[in-house]
Amino acid sequence: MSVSYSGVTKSFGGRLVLDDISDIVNEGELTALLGPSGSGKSTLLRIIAGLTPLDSGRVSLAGRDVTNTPARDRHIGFCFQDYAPFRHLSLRENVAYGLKVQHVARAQRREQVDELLRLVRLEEFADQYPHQLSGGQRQRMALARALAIKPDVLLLDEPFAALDAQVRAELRSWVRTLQQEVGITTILVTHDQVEAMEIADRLVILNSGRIEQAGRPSFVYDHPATDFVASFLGPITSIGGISYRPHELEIVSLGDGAESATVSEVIRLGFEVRVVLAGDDGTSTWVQLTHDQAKHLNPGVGQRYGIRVRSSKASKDAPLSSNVDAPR
Amino acid sequence: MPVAPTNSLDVEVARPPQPWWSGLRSAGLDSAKSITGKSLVVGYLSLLILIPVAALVDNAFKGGLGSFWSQATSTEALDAIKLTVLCSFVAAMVNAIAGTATAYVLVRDRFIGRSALNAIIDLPFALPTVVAGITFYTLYGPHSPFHVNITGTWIGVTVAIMFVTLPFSVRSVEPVLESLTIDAEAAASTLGASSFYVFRTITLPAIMPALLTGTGLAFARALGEYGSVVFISNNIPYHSEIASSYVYSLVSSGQNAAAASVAMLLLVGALCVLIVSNVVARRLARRRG
Repeated sequence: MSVSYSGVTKSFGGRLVLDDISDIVNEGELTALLGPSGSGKSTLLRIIAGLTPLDSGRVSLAGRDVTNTPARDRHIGFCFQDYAPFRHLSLRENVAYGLKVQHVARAQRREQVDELLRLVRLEEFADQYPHQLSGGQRQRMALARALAIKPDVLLLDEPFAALDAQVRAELRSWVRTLQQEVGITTILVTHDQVEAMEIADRLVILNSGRIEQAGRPSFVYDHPATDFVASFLGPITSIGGISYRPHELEIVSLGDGAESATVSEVIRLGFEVRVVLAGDDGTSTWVQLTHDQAKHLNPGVGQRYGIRVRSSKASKDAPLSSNVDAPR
Repeated sequence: MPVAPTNSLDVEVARPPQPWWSGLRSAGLDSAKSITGKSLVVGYLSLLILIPVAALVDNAFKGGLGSFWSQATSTEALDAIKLTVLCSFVAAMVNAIAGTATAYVLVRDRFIGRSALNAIIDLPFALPTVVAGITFYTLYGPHSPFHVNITGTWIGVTVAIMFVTLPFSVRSVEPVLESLTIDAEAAASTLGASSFYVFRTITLPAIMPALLTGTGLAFARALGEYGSVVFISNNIPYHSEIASSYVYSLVSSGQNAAAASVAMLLLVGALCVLIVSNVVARRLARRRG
């Protein structure tokens, strides 16, 4: 089911949190709302779910206006950042809650819950209480609970933020697979650009209550519409006043029409090496080399080189800051 | 060239011989501190609670178990205790409901005068109970401006007790409502539950342990309430006399042993209520971790 919202505006106590936001999420797509904290992305998610009232604007599900429909009638699965477990209920009872509300018969309920628990791989914990589960297990419980009502749309609010790095990476790809298996339209809120790029079909980048850019992750990365998007999605550096990704530049011998610069720092990070160079005009530029490139070049502090844009980049694409209109 | 010790073993060896009390100082100082702390606490509690209670027990049993029992269960004593328990129970139940509603409004709603209301809740704690008693007598007594006279009735006693014990119910439930349940309630509503169903299945179970503890405290406090009730109850023996005022009348007429016996019974009752409500609350809370 597609989700669309238009002109969504919301302020809290005089502070504008969302400023005239509009977008369409296509059926079956996984969209990531990406932005720094305070950008309004969680508020937008809660507005879509009907948990927070909006000041003006419309929200539609599959073309049907639900702006004034209460949360309980929207049929949207929502996973909270802290998982919002029902602490006094066992894992099984948590997952069964939505089915009980719908008066699903006991036997059928049990069958469906068992199947969901298998899906999220928590069968053996069915009779445990939320406080006996780990963060990752609680996250999966929240997911199973939301999916139990067979929602038309799934909304995930910072689903992996509270997990440690390894569990996070695991759950991330698992959620992606699950989403594709179930084929459910999903909107995920995150402040982690790597997470968003890895998991999403489409990015919507928010900054102080406005959409900066929307589009496929790889496209947005290569063609950021604004400086904010460019710097939020990955490191940027500049040469001759134009912004580039550090891996789009290369270090060559002096001459050849390259900007000349002096190596001021070499940082080795395992498979990649960062070379920081000071240009003759005093600007600092950061060039990222692979381990092999660095080994071949062997740059040392104080040595002079030329910097130029890699030929592959120069011929195929425009530089980052040229404000290309992003196709959806 | 001297080499600095590099591991803890070397440090141990390099240490000069220690005097015999060094062990006391390193390992024993903390426990000595905690012993001082413990004895302070025990001393303080003895002075305030244990010694008076022991004196009470001693007084109650001065004439032996038989005289204790006959004094504590005389018709007048029993009538007073019955009225007190009934009114305390009704007041605690009403406050459990009204207190939860009040706490809910305080925590969830934003309105003008919210902080004023928040301060007023504690007024019964701050106000001398006698002042409350006289106020109730003036408002709902024989010269009531509203022509409502509830003096000498169990309703009057209950109202006075409700006033004194309301803060227990509100303040016990409030922090739980504040911290525990907002996202869980929202989650339940996205799963299709109506507000009443959410309250019944999510909110109420979450606040139940705190509500039980608060209600138990309120009930126990009510059993011994005197100042706020004594005017409105009219103290008619066998009819509207509450236990604490019966005890007071016994003391006034020099029947110390009888007074101690009734007081003892009240004390045991209050203690039982506190223990039961705490145990049940803890058991409820345990499985949620």
